[in-house]
Amino acid sequence: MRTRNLLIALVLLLTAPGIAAAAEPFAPGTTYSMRSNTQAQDIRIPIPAGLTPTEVHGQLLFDSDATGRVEVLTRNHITGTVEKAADQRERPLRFPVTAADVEHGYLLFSIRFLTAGVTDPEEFCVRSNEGTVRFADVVVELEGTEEPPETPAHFFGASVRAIAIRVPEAPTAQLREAALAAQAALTHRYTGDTAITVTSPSESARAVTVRPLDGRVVELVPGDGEVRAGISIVDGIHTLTLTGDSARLTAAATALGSDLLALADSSTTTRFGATGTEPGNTTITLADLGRPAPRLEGLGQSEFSVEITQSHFGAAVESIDLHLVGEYAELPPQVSAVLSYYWNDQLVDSQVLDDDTTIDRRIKVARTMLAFGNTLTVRLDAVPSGDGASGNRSGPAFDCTGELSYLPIVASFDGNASTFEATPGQPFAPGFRRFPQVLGNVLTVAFGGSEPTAASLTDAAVLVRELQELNHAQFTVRVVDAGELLDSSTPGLLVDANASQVEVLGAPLRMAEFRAIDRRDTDFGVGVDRSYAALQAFQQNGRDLLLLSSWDPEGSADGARLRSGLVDEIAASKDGWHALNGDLDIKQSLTGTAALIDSNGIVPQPERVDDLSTYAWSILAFVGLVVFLLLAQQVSRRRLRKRAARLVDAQEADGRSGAGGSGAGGSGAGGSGAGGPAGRP
Amino acid sequence: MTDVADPPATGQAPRSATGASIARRMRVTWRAMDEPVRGPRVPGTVAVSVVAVLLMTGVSLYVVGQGGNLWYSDALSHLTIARRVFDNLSPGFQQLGTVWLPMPHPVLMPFVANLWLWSTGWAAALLGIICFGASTAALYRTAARLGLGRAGRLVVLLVLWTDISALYAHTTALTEPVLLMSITACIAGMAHWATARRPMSGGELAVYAGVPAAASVLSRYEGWVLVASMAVFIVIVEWRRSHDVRPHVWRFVLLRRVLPAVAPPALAIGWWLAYNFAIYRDPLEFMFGPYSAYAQQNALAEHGALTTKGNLGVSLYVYNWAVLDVIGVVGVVIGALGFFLLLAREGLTTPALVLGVLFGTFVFEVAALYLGQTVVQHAHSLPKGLFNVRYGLQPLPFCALGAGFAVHHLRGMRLPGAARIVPLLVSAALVGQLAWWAADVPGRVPVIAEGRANQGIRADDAAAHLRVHYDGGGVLSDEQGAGNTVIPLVGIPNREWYNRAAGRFFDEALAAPAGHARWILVNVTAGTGEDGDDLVHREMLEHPERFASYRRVYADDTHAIFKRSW
Repeated sequence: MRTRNLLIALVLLLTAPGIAAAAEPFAPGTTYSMRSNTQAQDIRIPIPAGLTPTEVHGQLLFDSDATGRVEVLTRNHITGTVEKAADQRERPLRFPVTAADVEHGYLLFSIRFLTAGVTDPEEFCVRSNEGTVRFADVVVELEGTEEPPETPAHFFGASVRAIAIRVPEAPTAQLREAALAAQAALTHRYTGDTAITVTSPSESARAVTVRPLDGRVVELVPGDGEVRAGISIVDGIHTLTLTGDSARLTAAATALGSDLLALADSSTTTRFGATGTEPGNTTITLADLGRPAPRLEGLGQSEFSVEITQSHFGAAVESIDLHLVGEYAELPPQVSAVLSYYWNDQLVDSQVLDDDTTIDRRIKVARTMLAFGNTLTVRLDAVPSGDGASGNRSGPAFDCTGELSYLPIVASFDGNASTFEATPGQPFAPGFRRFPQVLGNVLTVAFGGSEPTAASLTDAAVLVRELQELNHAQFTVRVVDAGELLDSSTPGLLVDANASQVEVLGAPLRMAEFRAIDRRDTDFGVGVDRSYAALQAFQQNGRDLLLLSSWDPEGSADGARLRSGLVDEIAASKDGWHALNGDLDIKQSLTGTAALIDSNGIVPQPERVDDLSTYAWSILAFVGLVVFLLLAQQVSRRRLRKRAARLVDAQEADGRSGAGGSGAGGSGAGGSGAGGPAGRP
Repeated sequence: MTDVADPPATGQAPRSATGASIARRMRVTWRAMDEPVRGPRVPGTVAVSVVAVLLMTGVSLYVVGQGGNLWYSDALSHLTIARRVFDNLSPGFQQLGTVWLPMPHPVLMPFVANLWLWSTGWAAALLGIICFGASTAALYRTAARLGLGRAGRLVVLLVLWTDISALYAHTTALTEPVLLMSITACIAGMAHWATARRPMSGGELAVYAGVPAAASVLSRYEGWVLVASMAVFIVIVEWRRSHDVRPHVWRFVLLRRVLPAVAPPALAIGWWLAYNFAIYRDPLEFMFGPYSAYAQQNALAEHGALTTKGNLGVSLYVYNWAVLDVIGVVGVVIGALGFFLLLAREGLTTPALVLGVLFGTFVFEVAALYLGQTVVQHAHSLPKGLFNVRYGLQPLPFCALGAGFAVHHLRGMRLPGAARIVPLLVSAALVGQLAWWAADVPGRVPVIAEGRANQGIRADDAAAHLRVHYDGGGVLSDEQGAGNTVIPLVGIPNREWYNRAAGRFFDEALAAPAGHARWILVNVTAGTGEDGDDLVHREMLEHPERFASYRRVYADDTHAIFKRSW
């Protein structure tokens, strides 16, 4: 036993960062893609602090028969070249790198694919894309000793690939909120390449595996007073412990996603926290999207693209008005050029370049063309149009295969003046596609059960992660009581909802047996009468809700496991949230995959039909109103008749008294009716 | 300087005189439209009809130009049925079939006789223009006879003229135009009888109300409830008029008034039952036959997908939403307000009773949903869908006349300017609603969206291929196969088709296709359990040897065309 403990200690000693003598190779897990004869593409690979990259290697994968070469440039110097023959589809690439190639924690290099005869795409007339090369299975060889993070500012380095957020068993609502806030914050900090989980001890099997080199643990510990952040190594893993009053832990967890975390540069930080929600903005510039001065140049085809999601605006958007501003150089007489504007690969505008030199385009992107994630591509097509006055349209320049004999065309855009102006609105039918943009950067979460389980918290965290990955701004996470969410008009997520809560919300699928309808209305699916879990996206009370729930028939208790299986399946899916379409995701088997169906493809359950049954009372209201109006009219008519009768009596009395010579005039008996209808002729 | 006026060009003076005359007549008509009706003539009828015809012609030019009039599969079927009575391998009146009531088909026949009018759908659009003009005239005359002034009368028409679903329906061969015309004509006849100063005879009642009622009972089943409502109306009105001036008042009411009025529709129903018995050996074949709505709805009901059946709440909910979708919130709210104002101000007078008769169609539709005799699906139904949303059009005359009475009564309010402002506000709301619909037709007009959806699952591309390449020799096809109802789109005479309507010729062609038809159009998903039943495709799967001489010349996801190669 003692020998075994010594062995474990030795292993920990050798593998713990800061102690190990040699670093493992680092694989970023990303494939980089480049088109032929375009500018070299910059590649950034995070390098753990303290380690030095020595070599990069991987596989080049080609998709065309073009001959040429792939060049690697570091600091604008060619440091590696791979020749490609026409029949080669795969070639290894290996090139040396040094510590000088690392900037701000990232190894920087660029790669370009030049076809035969092209030395620099800027100085050659090149045809449009002649193929694409992908750089895959990339591995960075490292040496040195990793520097252990000693402050929160350095704790979350660029090379971190797994983070386990841990909370104690049976966390309070405030602690659950802090855990989910930490999930959102760290998901916002990292891209989808970093796995992040929230677990309590009883659900630890679902926690992400963390390794010493690229893993981190965040522990949330309820305590007293201000939140303190401490860094230590627990079981060989760098661990950040946030301790403090539960009510203040959420702010501390939120701060993990903030750029201001860099200010927390002491090993023990107190008063750790961040609050506030990033407001939406209906106008965004090209510069905001990382393109302060996009530029297109050269003969042939060149283009730039920017991606813009609905969540960039912090709200659902039903149309976007583009205003693109820029200038282009005067065209040489031998060149014809056109700028084309594509929205999600659909041509939305084009401009033939002439002597004007001004780019000032206003483009309306209608609702039908909007997706959650959208791509604006601006493409410049420039071709020689002949040899000036002589009209000679032959030669290498015209064929676009040789060195240029005249100045290339250049078009540049003003990234600060070019804007995307959004009109808030909803272009999608209720369903998964409305998320996360309908949340408006605030994610309200509630747990349906009386005592939320450890699995529910992990399930919620998985969904928070999936939504946060798509949301441009970091979510402000709020955990509220289920009753509060039900009564409010706030969009949000209800996890582990019970049958009565599903009923109250009027969800498309009630927690009961159901049958699927074949969409062609001729065949009917088999009824489902065994346990299932469902994730639904629907509209209720004017807001959009996500509802995760499960149902068990008598004698079965698989629902909770199916629920966890359902969300884990979404997380494991290559497309994540984007894989969801329609408004209903159902999992009926622990081993099988979930089924995405439209709730309209389900035979209406009695519970849903009963909701509308009460509408029958409207007929009583209608009949009652008709009867009331008729009675009122009768009463009114009777009164009028009486008044008329009184008037007639009065007139007759007047006549009689006049005949008797009294001369009393119109007052007297008829006076009482004079102000009423009798006053009318 | 002296200005000498040029002498008028030849003919200018007469033209000016004619123009002045027309302007004068228009002014006279405009004034007359505000006066109570005193005799059989209702001034302004021709004028509003002309406007309606012009409006509908413009709408038809646009919709037919877009091909939208042929989107509904049912519309194509109606065109096909109308023509196959005289153009078919087995022509005759039995081609009217029993799935639909027959009236819309005979009235289409003069128009579909021309092959171009038939294949472009202009045949139905022309009928729709006539129906729209007639319905406009009928509504106008009803409004005038019930005592509405010019503002009220015009608002009645505006409800019809700004209903985008009604306008679209009148460009198609759907049954709505004929139904709306016959119902409004019947109502106009009843209003004429009820308000005439000179008591009208039973014969006149039969002509003015009974004959249109007969047309309506042979158009759609809504007409049947109209006849029942009409009978009650006649009893109430005549009893009020006669109970203290005539002996044996009940005998008089029933024999001299109700009987003449209901005789034409009763005869029409009798003829329909006899027709069913003669052709199908079952007078109720139309009700319970294999192609009846009853049979189709039974399949849905068995699987719980007919949620309106036996549930009054769901039936009301579904139908009310259909009405709102089709007539619009403005028309429904103002129409209902007018009805309630009428009851509150006048009680159960003749106008209220006329509106009550029209409300009968609403009751009928809800009852049909409750009994599971029909299905309506839209964005608010359970399940959702797009099916028969146009049934929400039936209360349109009720809403139109109700809106007229709303304006009539609201104008009388003791508010400064109400007489001018109320009609303007209501008109603006109706026009605004039309603009709102027009801004997003597929998203906001489910009647048109349903047509688009119909077209999306049909063999229109296959039909276009056949239209271009057909070189004679006959086409073998099962028109009952899913998406196969494209015969008018191909634009060749019905007698070129070997289909179920061809009777024994179809059976013979199925047994020996090469000897009959050079072309075959089939739904290739039929018989695989994915879609409806296509007898021709089933035959191709079961007896491939019979089709060995055919080569496939066209295919898409659902349909294929074969041509005999030797």
